[in-house]
Amino acid sequence: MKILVAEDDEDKLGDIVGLINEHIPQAKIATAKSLQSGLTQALTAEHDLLLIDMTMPNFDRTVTDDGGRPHAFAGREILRQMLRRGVSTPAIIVTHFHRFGPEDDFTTLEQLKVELETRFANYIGTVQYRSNVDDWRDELLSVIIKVFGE
Amino acid sequence: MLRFTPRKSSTTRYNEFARARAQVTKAGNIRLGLAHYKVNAPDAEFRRVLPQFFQMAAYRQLVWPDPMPATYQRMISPGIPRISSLQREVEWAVNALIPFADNLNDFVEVRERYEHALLFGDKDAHTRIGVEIQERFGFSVWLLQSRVNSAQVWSGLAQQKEYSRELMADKRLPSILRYIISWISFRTEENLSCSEFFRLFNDNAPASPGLFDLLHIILGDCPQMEPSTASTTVCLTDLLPLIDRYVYLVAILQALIAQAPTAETCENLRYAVTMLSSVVKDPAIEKIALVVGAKPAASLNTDLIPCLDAYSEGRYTEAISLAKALVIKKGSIDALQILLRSSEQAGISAIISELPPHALLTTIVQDLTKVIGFTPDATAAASRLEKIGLTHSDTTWAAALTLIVARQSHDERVFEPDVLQRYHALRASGDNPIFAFSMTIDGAGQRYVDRLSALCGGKSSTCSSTRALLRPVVGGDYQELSDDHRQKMLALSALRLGHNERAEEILAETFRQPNGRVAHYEGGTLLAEARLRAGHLLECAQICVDMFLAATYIGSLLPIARLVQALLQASKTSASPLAMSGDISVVIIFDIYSRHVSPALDPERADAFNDFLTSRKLKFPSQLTDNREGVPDEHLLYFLRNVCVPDVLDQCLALRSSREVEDERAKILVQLTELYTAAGLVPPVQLNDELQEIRTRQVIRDTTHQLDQSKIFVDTDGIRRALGNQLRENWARYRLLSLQDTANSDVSDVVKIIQEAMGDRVAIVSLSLPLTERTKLFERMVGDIRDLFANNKVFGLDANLSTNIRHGYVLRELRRPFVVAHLVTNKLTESSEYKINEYWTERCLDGEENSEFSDALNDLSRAVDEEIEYITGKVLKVWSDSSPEGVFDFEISLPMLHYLQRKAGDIENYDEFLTIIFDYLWLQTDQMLGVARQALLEGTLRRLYAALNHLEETLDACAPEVDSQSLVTAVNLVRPEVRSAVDRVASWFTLSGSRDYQDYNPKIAFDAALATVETYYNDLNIRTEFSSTQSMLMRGWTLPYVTRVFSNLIENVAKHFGISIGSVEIKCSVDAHGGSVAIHLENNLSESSDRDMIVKKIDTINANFGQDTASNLVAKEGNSGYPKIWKILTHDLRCEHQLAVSLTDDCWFVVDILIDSRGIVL
Repeated sequence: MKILVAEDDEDKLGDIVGLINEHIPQAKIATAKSLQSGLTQALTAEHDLLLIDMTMPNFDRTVTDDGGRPHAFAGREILRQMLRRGVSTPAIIVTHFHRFGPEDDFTTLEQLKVELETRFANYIGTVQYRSNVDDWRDELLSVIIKVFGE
Repeated sequence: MLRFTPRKSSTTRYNEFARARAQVTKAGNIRLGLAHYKVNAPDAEFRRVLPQFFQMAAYRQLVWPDPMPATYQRMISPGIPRISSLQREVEWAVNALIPFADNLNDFVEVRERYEHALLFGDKDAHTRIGVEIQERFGFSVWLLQSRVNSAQVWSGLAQQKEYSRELMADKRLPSILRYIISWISFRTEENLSCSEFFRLFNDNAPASPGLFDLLHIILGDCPQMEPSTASTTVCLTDLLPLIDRYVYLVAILQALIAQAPTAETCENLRYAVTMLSSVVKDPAIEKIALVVGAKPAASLNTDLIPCLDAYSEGRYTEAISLAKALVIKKGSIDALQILLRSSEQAGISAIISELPPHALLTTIVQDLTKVIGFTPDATAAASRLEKIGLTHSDTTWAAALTLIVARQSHDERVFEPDVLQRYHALRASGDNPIFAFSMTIDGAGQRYVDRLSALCGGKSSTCSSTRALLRPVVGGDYQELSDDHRQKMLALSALRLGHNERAEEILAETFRQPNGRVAHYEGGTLLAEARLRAGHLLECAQICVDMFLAATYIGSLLPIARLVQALLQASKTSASPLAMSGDISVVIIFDIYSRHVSPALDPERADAFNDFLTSRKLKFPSQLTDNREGVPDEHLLYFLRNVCVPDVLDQCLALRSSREVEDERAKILVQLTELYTAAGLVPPVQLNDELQEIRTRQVIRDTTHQLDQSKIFVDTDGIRRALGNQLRENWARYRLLSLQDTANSDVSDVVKIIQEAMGDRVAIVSLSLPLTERTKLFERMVGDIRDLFANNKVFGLDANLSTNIRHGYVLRELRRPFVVAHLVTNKLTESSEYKINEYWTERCLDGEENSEFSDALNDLSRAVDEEIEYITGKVLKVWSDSSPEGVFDFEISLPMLHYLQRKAGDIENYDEFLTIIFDYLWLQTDQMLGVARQALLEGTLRRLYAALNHLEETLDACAPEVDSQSLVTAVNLVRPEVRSAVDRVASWFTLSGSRDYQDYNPKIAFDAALATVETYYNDLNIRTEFSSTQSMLMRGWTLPYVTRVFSNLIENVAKHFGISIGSVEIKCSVDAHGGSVAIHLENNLSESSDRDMIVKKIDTINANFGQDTASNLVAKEGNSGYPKIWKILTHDLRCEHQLAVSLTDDCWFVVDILIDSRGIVL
């Protein structure tokens, strides 16, 4: 079982990877930390499941690269590109946020969920991550089980 | 035909009126009685009786005491308090006007002269007529508006503003009118487009529907009026003077017809319009009367028809002559257009020497020439014309002008006319058969052309062709027209019939052999439309791109938005989404859309770009130059220059970092320069500018990064010098003892044997060994070196930790993400509490107070500052009794001492001995740097995250009283930023490798320093000017030091002068002459600066700038940067130098540094 986790927040990434390792030890996990690296892996490597953050920088951040421009809807863009290229790997959005985009014209998480459901057949669901509350763990596991079964 | 209300005998009418009067009087208050009557009277009676009320001066004066007010105060009337149906309100308004028909007819005549004088630049006549209008008809909004606009025409924007300010300050003018004047004045602002103006107006104007629409009308727009609100709008005109009541009633009628072009609208308005047109002789009323079917034999103006006929029949010289006469005599904008078109066709320059050079009409001629001719500056000219049209929207010529400009992108013969086109067709001066296409109400267009044709004796070819085009049939021949015009009419006819491929066929033929530039672009625009309608999207994209590349202005006229939508739709329905991606035109179309329509489809632009590369099997766009088969030169240049920009390149999967994107762009810029040169063209200077900008940015970033990586530094050369002769003598003595004291050799041998045998336990054995004098001496020497290495105030590690890391850098780096997200505030003083976080209080609590919320934010500020204070004040320090948590612990154990002693045993050379000890100290430093990084990444980061978690939990607890969604979003967004900041600080704790810097111009050092300071002071606007001796190059090794000198200087400015005022100006020059480098840096001071205090400070700086005082200050954080500068100049650059600080008479703070340039400058 191969899972790609595209997430720019290293701590959140660590939490997600830790959760998968704990409950699905047989899973092979690949990681990406930006829109572009996530997209490249989603399009070029074979995965059974994608866990994608919604808001990411364009490139992986390093000490010398600030990651380029931020994308409020990076996760949606990855799904859009997958659709264009006929890649239908199941994908789950894992996000910190309740709303997205500029403050004067934001999209709520609920609106976004509806949009993703409407546009992308491979979209499985959205899990809201909290660094200090553990609900998301059970929620994410249950969505993953939806994909792979018990 | 119109049916008037059945006549009644005069006696009956009198009785009816008497009864109505009785009803009105019975109400007790005549105004209320009239209001009641207006709303409730039966239709037929209302129409019969109402004129009688208005014929009686007593009633008239009651509801409208001063129709022609001589003073500002009397400009607003009481009006009638109740609002009836739209139809009844219009009839009421018309009945109110009819008693003043003579005045209105006079006004129509004088208004024409007034508009003519303005258009032709006759200031004296215009002013005189304005006075005449005021004297004859009193004040009106219309007159004030006209005066504001003419103030701008005659005296410019500043004078107009002044005049408007005076009007707005005049308390005699009713407040609503002052409010209107403010918008009229604002409308003239430069660089304010029509759409932007009305967007702002809609956001700020009062929401009252009737008033809102009336204001729109006054300001020249056609509002979206519902019948219910339109009746209020009409009713509100009751409050205004006669002229406004008439002018704005006419405009409301025009707007109603434009908004709702239905038979019902005609029916509703016909009675009132018939009445009005029977007494007021105004071309605008005549047109309305014809359109609503109130007056089939309306009096229309046929002046333009002979001119149009000559033009469309190809008799251009005659058309020019006729048109010119009309322009000069009447200021006809439609004739001007014919004049310009005919001149282009005939190859004659359209000069109208009769016009004064500064007349408004002259400006219009110049700009319309550009717009019609699709010249390179047509875009700006079109914007100016649109603005003139809006500003002078109270004139009839402005409506004609607006229509001409609008027609270029939305030809009413091809598209359904929009509301504004329908509105302006009714308002435009003169009559033109083409207006018929905008008269869509109930067969009005046909009536209009028929009437014009009839008035011309049925002989007008323009009227005939217009009539044929209005109701096109297959096979219409348009025989009277010239070949060009006939072909165009046939194409238009085919488009109107939906025979798009036929239209495409005709237009493609004429496009291949166009008769002149105008025909080429207009024909091409129609061809693009025909191809789009026919579904030939690729061909449509190709012609659009071809024309756009030849004339940028046409980008705003082509059907780019619809084409892009069609392309997207086609890609969705096509089996292969990339079906059209092999054509570069498609990519360019998406780019034109992005630049000229909206950035909303930028992701799709990147898709088109990637698909194009994929279709050509290219990984990078820079490979296109060598694989350009089938790509025209102009397309290639556009693609490389405009499409392959960083925001598109960063979506190319082959490019994996910002650096790779920059390098690819740089490569493309070089290619572009070569392509322009190869084509015999001069490469645009912007290419080189952009290339230089990229390279400079990269050098600065590299330099900044290298400087970050070289923050851990110990000047071992300096220490070698500082150790002096004493250590050298001790070394000689040690060597002597080594030779003499063989017993100690035995001890060493014992240690060696035991160490080999027992491994780690050697320490226990060694500690028990007695120290000989030689060993004691060795220990002392190593201790001295260690102490200098760790603690020397100039060369040592702690001094460099202070200068390069602790000196504010950690604080600014770690605090910055919190500051940018407005999550932390400052304290007012060191001992006080944190300031209230107004930013988030405003957003989450609407400025209300909530102590739990405020405390949570204060807790975060405190936690962040305490952590920074802890890590810098206690952890990132050399260990000592006073810094017990310092991670840089250089204590040397006895076993290690013996190990070093043994290692140095065979060495005779003093320098080699030092090298061994330094190598050991560096090794120890490297291990401790790991501890420092760990302290940051595991300790600091965890604690900062914990502080954020605490805030988030408190916010949860505050819900739902506090709407903290946006704050929670900010908290989550800041986490990766905090990690990046901690990562960056941790990355400083790295041993600097050997770094080679290229020789450089001092601007690189200045810019690198500025970039660093700007990062920390991101709320501060730092404006800089830099100059240096041309071609001056400094030696590469000095780059980090010179950059640090600039960093300290700029940071001093930011910290001490800029932060309180939000912006600061810095001028810096670096000049090399006479063996010296002179750095001169000056900055402005805020007006509130305490000059005396600054002078004192300057004296202190100048007095203290010396080795003894400065070296003591270096290791202390929080002081000004001058001791650090002294240290860099003295010990890092090792140059003779002088520094002087001063204050100029005009309050600029100046730092002058003079450096001996030997070894520093090439």
